Amino acid sequence: MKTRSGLREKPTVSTVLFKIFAVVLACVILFPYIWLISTSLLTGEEYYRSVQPFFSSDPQWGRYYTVLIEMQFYRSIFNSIFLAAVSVVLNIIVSPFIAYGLSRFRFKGRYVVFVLMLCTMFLPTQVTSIPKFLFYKELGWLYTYLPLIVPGFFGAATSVMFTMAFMKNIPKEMDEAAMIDGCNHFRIWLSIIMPQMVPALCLVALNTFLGNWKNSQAPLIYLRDPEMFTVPLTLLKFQSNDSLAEVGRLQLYAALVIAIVPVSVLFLILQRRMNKGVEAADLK
Amino acid sequence: MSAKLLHKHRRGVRNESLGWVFVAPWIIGFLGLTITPLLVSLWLSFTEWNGFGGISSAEFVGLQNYKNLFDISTKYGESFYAALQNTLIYTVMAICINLVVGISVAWAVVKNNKVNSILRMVIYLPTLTISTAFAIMMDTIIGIKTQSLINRLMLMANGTTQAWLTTPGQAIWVMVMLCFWGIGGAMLTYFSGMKQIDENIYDAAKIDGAGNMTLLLRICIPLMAGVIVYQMIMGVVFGLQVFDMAVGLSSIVGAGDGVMGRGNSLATLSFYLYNKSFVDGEMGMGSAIGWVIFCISLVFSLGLLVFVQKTGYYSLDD
Repeated sequence: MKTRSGLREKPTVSTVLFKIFAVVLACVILFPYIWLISTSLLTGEEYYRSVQPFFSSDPQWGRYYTVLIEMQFYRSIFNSIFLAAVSVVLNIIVSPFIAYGLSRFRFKGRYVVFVLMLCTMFLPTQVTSIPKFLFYKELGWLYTYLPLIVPGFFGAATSVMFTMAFMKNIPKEMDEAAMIDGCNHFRIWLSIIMPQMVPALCLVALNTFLGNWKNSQAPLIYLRDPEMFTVPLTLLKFQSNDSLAEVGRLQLYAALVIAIVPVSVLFLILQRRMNKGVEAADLK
Repeated sequence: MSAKLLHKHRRGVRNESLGWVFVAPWIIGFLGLTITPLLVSLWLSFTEWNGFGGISSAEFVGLQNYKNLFDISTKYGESFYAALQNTLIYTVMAICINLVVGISVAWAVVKNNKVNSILRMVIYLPTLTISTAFAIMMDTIIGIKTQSLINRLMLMANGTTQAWLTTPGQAIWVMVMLCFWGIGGAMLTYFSGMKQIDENIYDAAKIDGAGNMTLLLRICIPLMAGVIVYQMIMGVVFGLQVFDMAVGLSSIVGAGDGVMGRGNSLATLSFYLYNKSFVDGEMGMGSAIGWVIFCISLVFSLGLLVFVQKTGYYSLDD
């Protein structure tokens, strides 16, 4: 460890303890994932032994095929990706749109809107879930994807706040120069503000996708047809299959691996690159 | 002065009210999907309704729903108090773990080097994992079946197994323990907060002889007061809403739809609301539960803010 003056510092007991704590925690956190992958590859016979082997002598790679193709897990994955993608596209358009209005215009009531938006971030979703359900029922939207998609048209408070913070860095002089040239505000938003928001929008896209991918409460309430299920719902359904067949449980674990591993790895890589991009943009 | 007037009359002058047009989508959403449902749910909480026959068939019962919830002798009260107890234990413990472990881990890996990067990625992993998938994944380790890792070890050690998740009073501590896995989100927030502190402050303190703990407790944490308060309030709000984990764990003990673990072992307020409204179809009672969650959230959050301001640690005017 070097200080600014370049002198080497001896690690103290305290720093070492902290480091050990972090490493132990990381191992504990990683362990279930490794255990899951290992368990998903065991044969049925190995699984029911009293001592579970870590490395299977006959890794059941075929099980992944069974789950993905024969049990049609690919359909749920596709559904989840579809819903998440739609929600991302909507959010990266609507939220900066709203943020532009909130950050660049000084209209009466601007502060009130801001405070109300802040309050919605703290509101538990459960208070409004029943009336929303009834509302969608009246519209005939139950058991479709509409209740999961339409709210995206109204923006998300967290994304609006986030993009507002980035917009502050774009100098107002650019807006004014464009206005003098005869641009209307919509064009300013589209051609000047948005292109400069790309790093921020990438982060918003990632977080929106992740939030949607993980969401199981809304799909649980609004979806009935198993063909429309998203990943969390299908996993719950597989879970109930487990009690029916001996092999069911291991298939469930294979499904879990498919649901967890690719997305996590992808996100870790993407988030690192996004963060680097945002840092670079910030420094400009 | 006259130049300003001239500017105002030039083409393309800024019409500040145009802001309303841009903000309109959010306002429509707020009125339609937040305020209106909020008020409807308040009204519904004073009724008894099975969800059929149009909203006019809802029977007005005044405070009966709330009375039932808080009366432990009714089946409502029994489940409600179980859910309330579990949710409160979980929320309080989750905030403590979030605070202590979150800051400690962030502090341990705050420097930018390869090892820390990897540690941060690993610790963040569960935050990227679907909560229900995570709960089912943990079944392989802490599940009640004899094949779970914990039970295998216990069988080898003393020949017994333990059904953590189906024993009321034990299941919730399993959920609390799982908070350790979810520490990545808090770690990231505190990490970002720490990154904003100027390194020079630490260097200056080190010259004065400050050790690691002093740097953390006397410099870093006070400078992160805002972030910490934010995390705690979000912790309260999200803790009181805990749902995915309870549902996931409940499914791995084979509880059917509408059963919260066994003997309400995995009851949480949100889970209870879901059961009452969407499984049992008791919309009025469900709404009442929703408002109870809301009020508890408000009380906790405001209480937290007041407490923090009183200790002088952080003030809204900062």
